[in-house]
Amino acid sequence: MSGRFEIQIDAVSYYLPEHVETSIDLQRDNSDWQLDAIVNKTGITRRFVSGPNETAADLVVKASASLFERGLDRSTIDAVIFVTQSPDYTLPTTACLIQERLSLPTECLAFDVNQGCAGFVYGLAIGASLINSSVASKVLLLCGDTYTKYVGRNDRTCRPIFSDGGSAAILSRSDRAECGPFLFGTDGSGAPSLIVRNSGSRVADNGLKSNLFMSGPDVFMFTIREVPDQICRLVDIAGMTLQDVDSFFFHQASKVVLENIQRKLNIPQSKIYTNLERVGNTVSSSIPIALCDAQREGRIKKGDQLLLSGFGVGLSWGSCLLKWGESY
Amino acid sequence: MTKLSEEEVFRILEESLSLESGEVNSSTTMEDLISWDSLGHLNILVALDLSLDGKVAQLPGLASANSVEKILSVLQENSLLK
Repeated sequence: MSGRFEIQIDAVSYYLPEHVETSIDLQRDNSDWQLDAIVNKTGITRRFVSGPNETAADLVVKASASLFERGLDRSTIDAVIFVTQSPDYTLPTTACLIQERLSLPTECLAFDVNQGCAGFVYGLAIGASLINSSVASKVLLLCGDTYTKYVGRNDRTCRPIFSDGGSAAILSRSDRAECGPFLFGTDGSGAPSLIVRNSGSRVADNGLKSNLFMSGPDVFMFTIREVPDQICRLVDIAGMTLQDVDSFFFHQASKVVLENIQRKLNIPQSKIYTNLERVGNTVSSSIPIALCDAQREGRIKKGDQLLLSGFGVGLSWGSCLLKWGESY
Repeated sequence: MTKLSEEEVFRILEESLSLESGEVNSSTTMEDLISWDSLGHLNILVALDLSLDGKVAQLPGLASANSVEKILSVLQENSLLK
Protein backbone atom coordinates (compact mmCIF):
# COMPACT_ATOMS: atom_id res chain seq x y z
CA MET A 1 0.00 0.00 0.00
CA SER A 2 1.79 3.11 -1.10
CA GLY A 3 -0.99 5.71 -0.87
CA ARG A 4 -1.39 8.52 1.60
CA PHE A 5 -4.60 9.14 3.50
CA GLU A 6 -5.83 12.44 4.85
CA ILE A 7 -6.50 10.81 8.18
CA GLN A 8 -5.48 11.83 11.64
CA ILE A 9 -5.46 10.35 15.10
CA ASP A 10 -7.88 12.59 16.99
CA ALA A 11 -6.97 11.15 20.35
CA VAL A 12 -5.12 8.25 21.90
CA SER A 13 -5.28 6.76 25.36
CA TYR A 14 -4.32 3.60 27.18
CA TYR A 15 -4.91 1.54 30.27
CA LEU A 16 -2.52 -0.82 32.06
CA PRO A 17 -3.55 -3.40 34.67
CA GLU A 18 -3.05 -2.43 38.31
CA HIS A 19 -0.76 -5.33 39.18
CA VAL A 20 2.90 -4.56 38.47
CA GLU A 21 5.48 -7.32 38.34
CA THR A 22 9.09 -6.36 39.03
CA SER A 23 12.43 -8.10 38.80
CA ILE A 24 12.04 -9.02 42.47
CA ASP A 25 9.01 -11.11 41.57
CA LEU A 26 10.92 -12.85 38.78
CA GLN A 27 13.85 -13.59 41.08
CA ARG A 28 11.56 -14.94 43.80
CA ASP A 29 10.07 -17.47 41.38
CA ASN A 30 13.36 -18.23 39.63
CA SER A 31 16.35 -18.04 41.93
CA ASP A 32 18.69 -19.34 39.20
CA TRP A 33 17.97 -16.47 36.78
CA GLN A 34 20.72 -13.88 36.25
CA LEU A 35 18.39 -10.88 36.37
CA ASP A 36 21.08 -8.32 35.58
CA ALA A 37 21.93 -10.10 32.34
CA ILE A 38 18.26 -10.45 31.44
CA VAL A 39 17.44 -6.79 32.10
CA ASN A 40 20.55 -5.77 30.20
CA LYS A 41 19.16 -7.49 27.11
CA THR A 42 15.46 -6.76 27.51
CA GLY A 43 15.73 -3.25 28.94
CA ILE A 44 12.52 -4.05 30.81
CA THR A 45 12.35 -3.62 34.59
CA ARG A 46 8.63 -4.07 35.17
CA ARG A 47 5.57 -5.51 33.52
CA PHE A 48 1.84 -5.08 33.98
CA VAL A 49 -0.10 -8.27 34.61
CA SER A 50 -3.85 -8.57 34.18
CA GLY A 51 -5.91 -10.18 36.91
CA PRO A 52 -7.39 -13.69 36.53
CA ASN A 53 -10.73 -12.30 35.40
CA GLU A 54 -9.39 -9.27 33.58
CA THR A 55 -9.31 -9.53 29.79
CA ALA A 56 -7.89 -7.47 26.96
CA ALA A 57 -11.42 -6.24 26.28
CA ASP A 58 -11.58 -4.90 29.85
CA LEU A 59 -8.33 -3.01 29.27
CA VAL A 60 -9.43 -1.36 26.01
CA VAL A 61 -12.85 -0.50 27.44
CA LYS A 62 -11.10 1.40 30.24
CA ALA A 63 -8.75 3.05 27.76
CA SER A 64 -11.77 4.10 25.67
CA ALA A 65 -13.67 5.39 28.69
CA SER A 66 -10.88 7.88 29.39
CA LEU A 67 -11.21 9.16 25.81
CA PHE A 68 -14.92 9.74 26.19
CA GLU A 69 -14.36 11.45 29.53
CA ARG A 70 -12.35 14.04 27.60
CA GLY A 71 -15.49 15.02 25.74
CA LEU A 72 -15.26 12.91 22.61
CA ASP A 73 -18.76 12.13 21.38
CA ARG A 74 -19.30 8.36 21.33
CA SER A 75 -22.38 8.71 19.15
CA THR A 76 -20.16 9.71 16.21
CA ILE A 77 -18.21 6.42 16.23
CA ASP A 78 -19.28 4.29 13.27
CA ALA A 79 -16.56 1.62 13.28
CA VAL A 80 -14.81 -0.35 16.01
CA ILE A 81 -11.69 -2.33 15.22
CA PHE A 82 -10.26 -4.46 18.01
CA VAL A 83 -6.75 -5.71 17.32
CA THR A 84 -6.08 -8.59 19.68
CA GLN A 85 -4.79 -12.10 20.10
CA SER A 86 -6.52 -12.34 23.46
CA PRO A 87 -10.23 -12.30 22.56
CA ASP A 88 -12.88 -12.91 25.20
CA TYR A 89 -14.25 -15.84 23.20
CA THR A 90 -13.54 -17.72 19.98
CA LEU A 91 -16.95 -16.38 19.06
CA PRO A 92 -18.66 -13.95 19.13
CA THR A 93 -16.35 -11.20 17.96
CA THR A 94 -15.08 -9.31 20.97
CA ALA A 95 -15.51 -5.98 19.17
CA CYS A 96 -19.28 -6.63 19.19
CA LEU A 97 -19.22 -7.03 22.96
CA ILE A 98 -17.20 -3.83 23.23
CA GLN A 99 -19.77 -1.95 21.13
CA GLU A 100 -22.38 -2.79 23.74
CA ARG A 101 -20.12 -2.12 26.75
CA LEU A 102 -19.16 1.32 25.44
CA SER A 103 -22.75 2.18 24.44
CA LEU A 104 -21.67 2.85 20.88
CA PRO A 105 -24.27 3.26 18.12
CA THR A 106 -25.76 0.02 16.82
CA GLU A 107 -25.18 1.41 13.33
CA CYS A 108 -21.43 0.93 13.68
CA LEU A 109 -19.49 -1.92 12.18
CA ALA A 110 -17.33 -3.92 14.56
CA PHE A 111 -14.73 -6.60 14.03
CA ASP A 112 -11.57 -8.09 15.51
CA VAL A 113 -8.21 -8.26 13.80
CA ASN A 114 -6.03 -11.17 14.84
CA GLN A 115 -2.65 -9.48 14.76
CA GLY A 116 0.04 -8.94 17.36
CA CYS A 117 3.05 -6.70 17.39
CA ALA A 118 2.33 -5.23 13.94
CA GLY A 119 -1.33 -4.82 14.88
CA PHE A 120 -1.50 -1.07 15.38
CA VAL A 121 -0.10 -0.40 11.92
CA TYR A 122 -2.57 -2.95 10.51
CA GLY A 123 -5.43 -1.26 12.36
CA LEU A 124 -4.36 2.16 11.19
CA ALA A 125 -4.28 0.99 7.57
CA ILE A 126 -7.70 -0.68 7.84
CA GLY A 127 -9.24 2.27 9.67
CA ALA A 128 -7.80 4.77 7.22
CA SER A 129 -9.09 2.69 4.32
CA LEU A 130 -12.60 2.56 5.79
CA ILE A 131 -12.64 6.33 6.19
CA ASN A 132 -11.05 6.99 2.81
CA SER A 133 -13.68 4.84 1.11
CA SER A 134 -16.48 6.54 3.08
CA VAL A 135 -17.52 3.29 4.71
CA ALA A 136 -16.87 4.95 8.06
CA SER A 137 -16.17 8.47 9.25
CA LYS A 138 -14.87 7.98 12.78
CA VAL A 139 -13.08 4.79 13.74
CA LEU A 140 -12.35 3.60 17.26
CA LEU A 141 -9.13 1.61 16.91
CA LEU A 142 -8.51 -0.58 19.93
CA CYS A 143 -5.39 -2.65 20.57
CA GLY A 144 -5.19 -4.95 23.55
CA ASP A 145 -3.49 -8.13 24.64
CA THR A 146 -2.97 -10.17 27.78
CA TYR A 147 -0.03 -12.34 26.70
CA THR A 148 0.97 -12.87 30.34
CA LYS A 149 -1.90 -15.36 30.55
CA TYR A 150 -0.02 -17.50 28.00
CA VAL A 151 3.38 -17.30 29.69
CA GLY A 152 4.74 -19.84 32.18
CA ARG A 153 6.21 -18.62 35.48
CA ASN A 154 9.57 -20.18 34.67
CA ASP A 155 9.80 -19.14 31.02
CA ARG A 156 12.97 -17.08 30.92
CA THR A 157 12.46 -16.03 27.30
CA CYS A 158 8.91 -14.68 27.55
CA ARG A 159 8.17 -13.76 31.15
CA PRO A 160 10.74 -10.95 31.47
CA ILE A 161 9.37 -9.29 28.32
CA PHE A 162 5.62 -9.48 27.92
CA SER A 163 3.28 -7.07 29.63
CA ASP A 164 -0.49 -6.58 29.35
CA GLY A 165 -2.08 -3.40 28.09
CA GLY A 166 -4.85 -1.84 26.08
CA SER A 167 -5.04 1.28 23.95
CA ALA A 168 -7.76 3.28 22.25
CA ALA A 169 -7.35 5.70 19.38
CA ILE A 170 -9.91 7.63 17.37
CA LEU A 171 -9.27 8.10 13.68
CA SER A 172 -11.03 10.64 11.50
CA ARG A 173 -10.66 12.45 8.22
CA SER A 174 -8.48 15.51 8.19
CA ASP A 175 -7.44 17.95 5.51
CA ARG A 176 -4.13 18.48 7.27
CA ALA A 177 -2.62 15.30 8.57
CA GLU A 178 -1.23 12.64 6.32
CA CYS A 179 -1.15 8.96 7.10
CA GLY A 180 0.89 6.68 4.86
CA PRO A 181 2.37 5.27 2.81
CA PHE A 182 2.10 1.84 4.38
CA LEU A 183 4.26 -1.19 3.75
CA PHE A 184 3.55 -4.67 5.07
CA GLY A 185 5.37 -7.98 5.11
CA THR A 186 4.41 -11.54 5.96
CA ASP A 187 6.44 -14.72 6.32
CA GLY A 188 4.26 -17.55 7.58
CA SER A 189 7.22 -19.94 7.47
CA GLY A 190 8.36 -18.24 10.67
CA ALA A 191 5.07 -18.88 12.49
CA PRO A 192 6.58 -21.59 14.75
CA SER A 193 9.00 -18.99 16.13
CA LEU A 194 6.22 -17.32 18.12
CA ILE A 195 3.18 -19.43 18.78
CA VAL A 196 0.67 -20.72 21.31
CA ARG A 197 0.06 -24.28 20.15
CA ASN A 198 -3.28 -26.02 20.63
CA SER A 199 -4.95 -22.66 21.17
CA GLY A 200 -7.34 -22.90 18.23
CA SER A 201 -8.95 -25.58 16.11
CA ARG A 202 -5.70 -27.27 15.12
CA VAL A 203 -4.94 -29.60 17.99
CA ALA A 204 -1.97 -31.92 18.19
CA ASP A 205 -0.27 -34.21 20.66
CA ASN A 206 -2.19 -34.42 23.91
CA GLY A 207 -4.56 -31.63 22.96
CA LEU A 208 -3.65 -29.54 25.97
CA LYS A 209 -3.24 -25.84 25.35
CA SER A 210 0.42 -24.87 25.40
CA ASN A 211 2.01 -21.76 26.78
CA LEU A 212 3.47 -19.13 24.51
CA PHE A 213 6.65 -20.29 22.81
CA MET A 214 9.13 -17.80 21.43
CA SER A 215 12.46 -18.55 19.79
CA GLY A 216 14.30 -15.36 20.72
CA PRO A 217 17.17 -15.82 18.25
CA ASP A 218 14.83 -16.56 15.31
CA VAL A 219 12.61 -13.56 16.05
CA PHE A 220 15.67 -11.35 16.54
CA MET A 221 17.16 -12.44 13.20
CA PHE A 222 13.85 -11.87 11.42
CA THR A 223 13.57 -8.41 12.88
CA ILE A 224 17.03 -7.16 11.95
CA ARG A 225 16.69 -8.75 8.51
CA GLU A 226 13.28 -7.35 7.53
CA VAL A 227 12.48 -4.21 9.52
CA PRO A 228 15.38 -1.90 8.59
CA ASP A 229 14.98 -2.84 4.93
CA GLN A 230 11.24 -2.15 4.98
CA ILE A 231 11.77 1.22 6.65
CA CYS A 232 14.33 2.26 4.06
CA ARG A 233 11.94 1.25 1.26
CA LEU A 234 9.08 3.12 2.95
CA VAL A 235 10.86 6.46 3.17
CA ASP A 236 12.12 5.97 -0.38
CA ILE A 237 8.57 5.38 -1.67
CA ALA A 238 7.49 8.52 0.17
CA GLY A 239 10.24 10.50 -1.51
CA MET A 240 11.89 11.14 1.82
CA THR A 241 15.02 10.19 3.70
CA LEU A 242 15.44 8.87 7.22
CA GLN A 243 16.65 12.34 8.19
CA ASP A 244 13.21 13.74 7.32
CA VAL A 245 11.62 11.67 10.09
CA ASP A 246 11.29 13.55 13.38
CA SER A 247 10.56 10.54 15.59
CA PHE A 248 10.53 6.76 15.19
CA PHE A 249 7.96 4.70 17.06
CA PHE A 250 8.95 1.06 16.93
CA HIS A 251 7.09 -1.81 18.53
CA GLN A 252 8.62 -1.96 22.01
CA ALA A 253 10.00 -5.46 21.56
CA SER A 254 13.11 -5.38 23.72
CA LYS A 255 16.22 -3.28 24.17
CA VAL A 256 18.44 -5.56 22.10
CA VAL A 257 16.02 -5.48 19.18
CA LEU A 258 15.61 -1.69 19.25
CA GLU A 259 19.35 -1.11 19.62
CA ASN A 260 20.10 -3.22 16.60
CA ILE A 261 17.39 -1.66 14.43
CA GLN A 262 18.88 1.70 15.35
CA ARG A 263 22.36 0.45 14.48
CA LYS A 264 21.22 -0.95 11.12
CA LEU A 265 19.43 2.27 10.20
CA ASN A 266 22.14 4.48 11.64
CA ILE A 267 19.64 6.86 13.16
CA PRO A 268 20.23 8.85 16.35
CA GLN A 269 18.95 7.43 19.63
CA SER A 270 17.32 10.78 20.34
CA LYS A 271 14.85 10.18 17.51
CA ILE A 272 13.70 6.81 18.84
CA TYR A 273 11.03 6.93 21.50
CA THR A 274 11.17 4.13 24.04
CA ASN A 275 9.15 3.40 27.15
CA LEU A 276 9.74 -0.32 27.41
CA GLU A 277 11.72 -0.08 30.64
CA ARG A 278 8.65 0.95 32.62
CA VAL A 279 5.87 -0.51 30.42
CA GLY A 280 7.30 -3.73 28.94
CA ASN A 281 6.31 -5.31 25.64
CA THR A 282 2.54 -4.92 25.42
CA VAL A 283 2.31 -6.45 21.92
CA SER A 284 -0.34 -4.72 19.77
CA SER A 285 -0.72 -1.70 22.04
CA SER A 286 2.98 -0.87 22.42
CA ILE A 287 3.07 1.74 19.62
CA PRO A 288 -0.10 3.65 20.65
CA ILE A 289 1.02 3.58 24.29
CA ALA A 290 4.35 5.04 23.19
CA LEU A 291 2.56 7.70 21.13
CA CYS A 292 0.40 8.62 24.10
CA ASP A 293 3.38 8.86 26.47
CA ALA A 294 5.42 10.83 23.93
CA GLN A 295 2.61 13.32 23.53
CA ARG A 296 2.21 13.72 27.30
CA GLU A 297 5.94 14.30 27.61
CA GLY A 298 5.94 16.88 24.83
CA ARG A 299 8.17 14.71 22.65
CA ILE A 300 5.85 15.03 19.65
CA LYS A 301 3.92 18.02 18.41
CA LYS A 302 1.56 18.94 15.64
CA GLY A 303 3.18 18.63 12.24
CA ASP A 304 5.92 16.21 13.31
CA GLN A 305 6.74 13.50 10.80
CA LEU A 306 6.55 10.16 12.59
CA LEU A 307 7.45 6.69 11.40
CA LEU A 308 5.64 3.77 13.01
CA SER A 309 6.86 0.19 12.68
CA GLY A 310 5.46 -2.98 14.22
CA PHE A 311 6.90 -6.48 13.83
CA GLY A 312 6.61 -9.91 15.36
CA VAL A 313 4.15 -12.80 15.59
CA GLY A 314 3.07 -14.16 12.22
CA LEU A 315 5.70 -13.43 11.27
CA SER A 316 4.28 -10.05 10.32
CA TRP A 317 5.70 -6.61 9.95
CA GLY A 318 4.27 -3.28 8.93
CA SER A 319 5.45 0.31 8.80
CA CYS A 320 3.92 3.64 7.92
CA LEU A 321 4.53 7.34 8.02
CA LEU A 322 2.21 9.56 10.02
CA LYS A 323 2.19 13.30 10.22
CA TRP A 324 1.05 14.05 13.75
CA GLY A 325 -2.12 16.11 13.82
CA GLU A 326 -4.13 17.96 16.41
CA SER A 327 -4.56 15.34 19.08
CA TYR A 328 -5.97 15.58 22.57
CA MET B 1 34.45 -8.66 1.93
CA THR B 2 35.04 -9.18 5.63
CA LYS B 3 35.67 -12.79 6.61
CA LEU B 4 36.48 -14.38 9.93
CA SER B 5 38.97 -17.08 10.79
CA GLU B 6 37.98 -19.96 13.05
CA GLU B 7 40.11 -18.44 15.82
CA GLU B 8 38.32 -15.11 15.45
CA VAL B 9 34.97 -16.89 15.73
CA PHE B 10 36.16 -18.62 18.90
CA ARG B 11 37.21 -15.26 20.40
CA ILE B 12 33.85 -13.69 19.48
CA LEU B 13 32.00 -16.50 21.23
CA GLU B 14 34.22 -16.23 24.31
CA GLU B 15 33.68 -12.50 24.58
CA SER B 16 29.93 -12.81 23.92
CA LEU B 17 29.57 -15.47 26.62
CA SER B 18 31.97 -13.84 29.12
CA LEU B 19 34.36 -16.81 29.00
CA GLU B 20 38.11 -17.09 29.44
CA SER B 21 40.32 -17.32 26.39
CA GLY B 22 40.61 -20.90 25.19
CA GLU B 23 37.29 -22.10 26.55
CA VAL B 24 35.69 -22.30 23.08
CA ASN B 25 36.91 -24.62 20.36
CA SER B 26 35.48 -26.30 17.28
CA SER B 27 33.78 -29.03 19.29
CA THR B 28 32.03 -26.75 21.80
CA THR B 29 28.24 -27.03 21.89
CA MET B 30 25.49 -25.05 23.54
CA GLU B 31 25.04 -27.83 26.09
CA ASP B 32 28.65 -27.49 27.24
CA LEU B 33 28.32 -23.91 28.45
CA ILE B 34 25.86 -22.54 31.00
CA SER B 35 26.25 -19.03 29.61
CA TRP B 36 25.33 -20.19 26.08
CA ASP B 37 21.59 -19.89 26.58
CA SER B 38 19.10 -17.94 24.46
CA LEU B 39 20.40 -14.63 25.83
CA GLY B 40 23.98 -15.71 25.23
CA HIS B 41 23.04 -16.71 21.71
CA LEU B 42 21.65 -13.22 21.08
CA ASN B 43 25.01 -11.82 22.23
CA ILE B 44 26.76 -14.09 19.73
CA LEU B 45 24.46 -13.05 16.88
CA VAL B 46 24.96 -9.35 17.59
CA ALA B 47 28.75 -9.74 17.89
CA LEU B 48 28.99 -11.73 14.66
CA ASP B 49 26.81 -9.16 12.89
CA LEU B 50 29.09 -6.35 14.05
CA SER B 51 32.17 -8.26 12.90
CA LEU B 52 30.72 -9.18 9.52
CA ASP B 53 29.49 -5.74 8.43
CA GLY B 54 25.84 -6.54 9.10
CA LYS B 55 25.66 -9.70 6.99
CA VAL B 56 24.42 -11.94 9.79
CA ALA B 57 20.84 -10.77 9.28
CA GLN B 58 20.90 -12.62 5.95
CA LEU B 59 21.97 -15.91 7.58
CA PRO B 60 18.86 -17.27 9.35
CA GLY B 61 20.64 -20.60 9.92
CA LEU B 62 22.68 -18.94 12.64
CA ALA B 63 19.59 -18.49 14.84
CA SER B 64 19.38 -22.23 15.46
CA ALA B 65 23.09 -23.00 15.30
CA ASN B 66 23.64 -24.66 18.67
CA SER B 67 27.29 -25.58 18.29
CA VAL B 68 30.50 -23.98 17.13
CA GLU B 69 30.63 -26.52 14.32
CA LYS B 70 27.22 -25.37 13.04
CA ILE B 71 28.16 -21.70 13.27
CA LEU B 72 31.33 -22.33 11.31
CA SER B 73 29.36 -24.36 8.78
CA VAL B 74 26.86 -21.54 8.15
CA LEU B 75 29.69 -19.02 7.78
CA GLN B 76 31.55 -21.40 5.43
CA GLU B 77 28.46 -21.94 3.26
CA ASN B 78 28.11 -18.19 2.88
CA SER B 79 31.80 -17.59 2.13
CA LEU B 80 32.29 -15.67 5.37
CA LEU B 81 35.00 -17.93 6.78
CA LYS B 82 38.67 -17.42 5.95
